[in-house]
Amino acid sequence: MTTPAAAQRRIEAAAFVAAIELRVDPGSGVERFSGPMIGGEATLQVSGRWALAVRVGDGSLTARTPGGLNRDVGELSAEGRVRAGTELSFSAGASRRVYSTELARQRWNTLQLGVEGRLPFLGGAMQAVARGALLPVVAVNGLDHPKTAYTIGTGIEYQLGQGAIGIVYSLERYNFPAKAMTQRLEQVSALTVRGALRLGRGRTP
Amino acid sequence: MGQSRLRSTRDTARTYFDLAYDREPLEDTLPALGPGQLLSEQVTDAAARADLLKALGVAAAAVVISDHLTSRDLGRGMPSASRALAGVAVVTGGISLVYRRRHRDLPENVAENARRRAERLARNDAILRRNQERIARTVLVIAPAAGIGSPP
Repeated sequence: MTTPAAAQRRIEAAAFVAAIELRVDPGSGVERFSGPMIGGEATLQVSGRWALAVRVGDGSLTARTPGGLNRDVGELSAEGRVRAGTELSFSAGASRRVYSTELARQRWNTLQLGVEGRLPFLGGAMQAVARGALLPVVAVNGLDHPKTAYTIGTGIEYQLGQGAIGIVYSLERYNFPAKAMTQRLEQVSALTVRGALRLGRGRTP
Repeated sequence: MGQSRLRSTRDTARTYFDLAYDREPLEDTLPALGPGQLLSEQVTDAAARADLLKALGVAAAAVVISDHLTSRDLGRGMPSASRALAGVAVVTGGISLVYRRRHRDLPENVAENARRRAERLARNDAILRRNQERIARTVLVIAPAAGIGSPP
């Protein structure tokens, strides 16, 4: 017999594909890179309110400005989420992202504190999603900590039985402190399409 | 009034008694479910418009993020992608509005209201049953009224 706690514990598996654009101004002009990223995500709903999620992604960014080096990007992140009501949740997590070129490898380790709001419509068949997160810790090898770092996004999710399909536009911004009259700026824009399948009983994380 | 068997005299006496029903208090039945206790069984125009506004909000937010929250020095971030999402949101909102106006019934809410009404009815039936049992157990108590006796 399934206990109530076990009934709430379930896994959601998701796959995503994203179009990503990376813009970097190291102080000598804007460099632009863009390309696809694919990945997967697993979410374990550990109780009615708490969930743990792990996400991996891999992509390839092509330089769109002269002189830029193509780069691969890989990402691994984990976060815990807690519901605060039916339409609001908070999260805390860590991620590691690596940009690799033929010449160098840049590692980004970040901690994030986020909030996500979901407004159901069409009787719950769809949800308007808005999310944002502060990145209080961003450690990049060879760079100082950015003085401003956050991510923000919005999108729509469609519920389809035990599955869901969502599309989200998101933006990450990093403003590094100025040094020697130059300031490094970076931003990552992404349009992500994500499909998810629930593998158990319970509520959406 | 009484009559003596020995003498042909009559006399009257007046005695007071207290009559009381000894019964457990009866329970009140639950009041009828008010509008605030029942879910809307049909989609209102306001709800349909609210759905459209949510979708338009997503569309507007995507454009604002790409056009105004990006760095001015770096330029807008994938404006075509934000427009694509905005378009999807607007179309979704439009479809939602039309669908909600053509399909106003909310069967889940109808079922939930029926469940709430049945629950109230069942609880009221139980209350009435308990009250009837208490009424059946009512005891008539007859006791001399204290402090009141026959007139001298």
